[in-house]
Amino acid sequence: MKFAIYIGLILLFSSCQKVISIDLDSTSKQYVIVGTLTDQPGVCQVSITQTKNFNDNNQFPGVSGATVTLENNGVVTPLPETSAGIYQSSALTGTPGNTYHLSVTIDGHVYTASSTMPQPVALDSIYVSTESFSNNKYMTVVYHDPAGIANYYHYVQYVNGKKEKTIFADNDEFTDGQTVKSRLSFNNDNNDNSRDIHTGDSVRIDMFCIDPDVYKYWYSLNDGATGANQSASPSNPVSNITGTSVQGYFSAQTLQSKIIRVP
Amino acid sequence: MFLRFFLILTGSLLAGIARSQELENTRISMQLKQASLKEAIQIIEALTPFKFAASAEDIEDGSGITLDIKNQPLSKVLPILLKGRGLQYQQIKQTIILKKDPALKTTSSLILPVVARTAEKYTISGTVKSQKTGETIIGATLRIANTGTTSNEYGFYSIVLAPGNYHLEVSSVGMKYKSIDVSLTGNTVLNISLEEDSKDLQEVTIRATTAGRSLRTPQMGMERLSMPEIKDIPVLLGEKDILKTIQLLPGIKSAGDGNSGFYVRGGGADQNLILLDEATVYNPSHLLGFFSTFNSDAIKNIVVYKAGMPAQYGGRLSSVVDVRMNEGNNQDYGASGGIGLISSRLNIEGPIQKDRSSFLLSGRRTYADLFLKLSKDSNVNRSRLYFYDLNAKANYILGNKDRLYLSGYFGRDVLGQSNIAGINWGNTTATARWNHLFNSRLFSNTSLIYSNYDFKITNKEAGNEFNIISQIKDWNLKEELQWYAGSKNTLNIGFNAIHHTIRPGEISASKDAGVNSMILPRRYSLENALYATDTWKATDRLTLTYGVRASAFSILGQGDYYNIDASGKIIDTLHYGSGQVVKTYFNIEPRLAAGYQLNTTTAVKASYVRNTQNLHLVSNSTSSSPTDRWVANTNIIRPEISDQVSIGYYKNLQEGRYELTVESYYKTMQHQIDYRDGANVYTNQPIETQLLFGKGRAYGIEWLLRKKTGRLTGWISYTLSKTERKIDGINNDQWYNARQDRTHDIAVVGIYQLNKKWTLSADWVFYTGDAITFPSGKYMVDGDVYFLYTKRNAWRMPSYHRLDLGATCQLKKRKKFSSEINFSLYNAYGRENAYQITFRQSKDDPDRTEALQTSLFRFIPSISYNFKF
Repeated sequence: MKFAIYIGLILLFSSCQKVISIDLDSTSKQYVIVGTLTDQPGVCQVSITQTKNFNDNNQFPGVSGATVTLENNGVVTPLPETSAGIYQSSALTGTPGNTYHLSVTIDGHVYTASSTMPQPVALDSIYVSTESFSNNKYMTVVYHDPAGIANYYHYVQYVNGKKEKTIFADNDEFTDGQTVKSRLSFNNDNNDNSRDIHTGDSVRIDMFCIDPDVYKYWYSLNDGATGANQSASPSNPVSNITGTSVQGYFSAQTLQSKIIRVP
Repeated sequence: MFLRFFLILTGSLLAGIARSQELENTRISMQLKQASLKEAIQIIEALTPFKFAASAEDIEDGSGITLDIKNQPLSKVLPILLKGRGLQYQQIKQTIILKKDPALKTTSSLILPVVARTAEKYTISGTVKSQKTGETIIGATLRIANTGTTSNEYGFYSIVLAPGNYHLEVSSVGMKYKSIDVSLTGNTVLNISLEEDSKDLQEVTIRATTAGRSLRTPQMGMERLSMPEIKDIPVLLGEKDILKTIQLLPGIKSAGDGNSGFYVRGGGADQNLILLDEATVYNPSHLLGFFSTFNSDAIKNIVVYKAGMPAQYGGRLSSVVDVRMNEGNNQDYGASGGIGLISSRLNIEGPIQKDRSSFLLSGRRTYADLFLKLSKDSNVNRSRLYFYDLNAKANYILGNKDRLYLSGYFGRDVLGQSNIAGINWGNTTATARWNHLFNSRLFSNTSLIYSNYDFKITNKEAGNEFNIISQIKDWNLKEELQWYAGSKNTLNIGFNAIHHTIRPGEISASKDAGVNSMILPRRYSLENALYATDTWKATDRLTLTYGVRASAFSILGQGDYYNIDASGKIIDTLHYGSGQVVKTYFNIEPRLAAGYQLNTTTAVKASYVRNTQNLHLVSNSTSSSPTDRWVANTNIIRPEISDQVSIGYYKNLQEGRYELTVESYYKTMQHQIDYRDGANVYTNQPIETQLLFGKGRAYGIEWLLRKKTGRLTGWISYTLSKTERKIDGINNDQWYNARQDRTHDIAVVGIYQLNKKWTLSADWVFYTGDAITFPSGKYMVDGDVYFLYTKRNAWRMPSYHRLDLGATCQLKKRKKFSSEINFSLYNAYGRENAYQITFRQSKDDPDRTEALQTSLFRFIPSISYNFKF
């Protein structure tokens, strides 16, 4: 709906944009912990980086020397550091219904998080459509939401292997028990042609079933911290990691992927 | 020979007339305290071109003179000064000769009633209206003897006086000044018709008496504007807009570039009570706030209260904007209208029965979508984007004592892609009012009011069809009695009962829509208020208004209510049946004001007012959105309460040509509402789970220097203010700047009448940028950069300033037809004002982040053509 309003606004008034320089103050660094575990055999990975000042570059080097463990049903698995700031183990595969507890110790600070892997919901299909207004192509994800239980979804779109930065997250508050066709339309706000979907492109969609706290994280990250939206009061996302001055999330999630070649 | 004689005769006759007119036309204001006649004469000599000739003993002796004259002709003043002295005057050109009158004995006479001699008092009452159209005039200033009043919302006035001969002066903006001699020997009904002030240049320059701000009443924080006053002020796209014009006044701040939303003395946009013919308008804007819902053709008068709200108003924290519609010409049929860049207007009015009843129909529609139709792209040319307003009114005079008014408003915004998706929203109001005069001192108005706001979202994409409807609907019964109890007291007593129905959201979906049909529970409530207030002229200088409004807000079943914990989780659910009272909030709202007149041109005032608000708009976007939700009090959401004290200084300068107002205020606000971090705005969870509560404070000082007469009119306003919030759970529970906190706010408005044909106008505004939250840092999650926030609203948008220019050309007038062309240029020097600032990874260098400023309006020209016949 917001989209239609923006179209109206743009049509009516020719707005103009320019890059400006603002003196933003510096702030003390915070740790950023991102941990994921899926139901697919592969990798359980935790990455640790730090926040930077606005005017610094976008290189976020990893933080080494942390102790990272994952606990499930009393079994504690250490995640060794495999490269700077990356802690992972290929021995771990998550099981839906299980709750996983992450513990990270860095420089005397302890950060913990828990996440329960939900039951997977089958990704039925994905297809390409053309936006009637702008003629842009967009993807639609189709699945049948199980009735009577709360479900949360997170999708990641790759066009020719390049990840789309728009956050796509859904819940079934209004769609419980329905066959849901979720549109992954996005606003190409920096006019980067490689983000748009073109005929012949290879598009991959990863669908994650996530727990409510992780959904809250994606929802609030999208609402408050992308720097792009109209929110009257930008804010840091609601993280499921406990500890002082920390950003990021930990999610035990199911993963399904589909790839299509755009006709 | 004969011809020559005739010329001399007419010449001398004309000179004689001119002389006598000079005494009649020379008006002065003066205040004397135990002064001698000599001192009085010296003052008159200083203020007027006249010189006096008299023997010293005649003017030095005699008792001291104490009087307080405002804008009286010399021909009236001289007899007062000379009364009881046995002196008479004779005017020869510029000289006034005072001589002893041998025929007169030194006794007092009853030429003018200076002192009431008997306890018996009579009422002079009636209605003030326009001679040309029969429209009643709101807020006309009536001055008589040492007292005065203003006509009420229905043009009615009533003054209680001792018997005697009086001189009644009536003035109103845009109307010719009128003075009437009244001999009061019993209760008198005097209906007053005022002529419209023509644009004749001579009259504009000569006009010396206009409705200045009343120094006598204790009312402060009030601004009254009528359409003629503001019609020449340039506006965006040529759409005259009262809600944008009031933003040029001190203490009223624009919600953004080109926006009709506004903040008053630190309040939020939803804390303004906006009334159209007494009906609440819940969303007073069109098209995301760029235009107001008020079609200026249909509007008569607007009053804004920033402080000291009279007790009949309640329900919002920070201001009252009382908009009154025209009634319709009951003398003659007429039509007026205009064609502008984005909209056209048509207004038709006329008598149903001459002098007794009239109707008015006024419509406006924008046609942005007609431009879209020019597009070759079928998706664009089938898009809809427009709004329209329809105002209708009828009134009937049912006799000397009764009058009935019916008025309605209907407006709608439509936005959508023809067959796929759309949203439409709008307000509907209807008001039925009955004025009844029990007697010349007791005026009653009974109103039955319906008010509705709703929006409807439709999605018709194949296989994904659904509608979402949301609505707020009121039924409102009001009764008000205005009792002109005596020469010293005027009482207002009344009650108000509103039944609110809120439908938060209802989704109806087709079977395969992928969305469930769903009805969020409706909320019912009853808002009752009882009030009484007295305006008491305690002395000639001191007037007090004291009153109280008692309000009771009852939340009615049926419905579920909740208890939640600190994190917003529901602890338990309380079920209430239909009609069951969930909770009632009582509030006592004192309304106190005092005005003290220091002299004829200066007054000081003070007031204290408490306001409560039981309906709250929760919005998390910077611009107004049609989908912002109104929520009523619940067991958790408590009434918002504000307490405001203000003091003010008022001075009329240079014989009332300039008006200086300085007001200062301190306001506290309780139970303010904000969203939690990460709150879900569109959820069917109880809204309380998404909210946080806290308090606010605002203080400031406002200056307004206004010129109301002459070729050049306009004003300069300056506001220095501070507005803060403290919400538990936001900004580490510390005070932070509210978004609308702006330190400086300046507006300069000028309207210059160049000649009979051209009127030029300009306004310039400057204000400190809004307080806003900018990132302090950044970090990476899953390969993308996000921003880190530390302090709420600790930064500022760039300062905003803008110059608008306007010119109106009066085209040739025919007997019944007149028209004008209006040119305007919005943002004349093309300042790139920041509408929003966003942050992103740089387009050119992904290794950096950058701030991006979006500006909306630069050099927006417009032209419109207006006609009237």
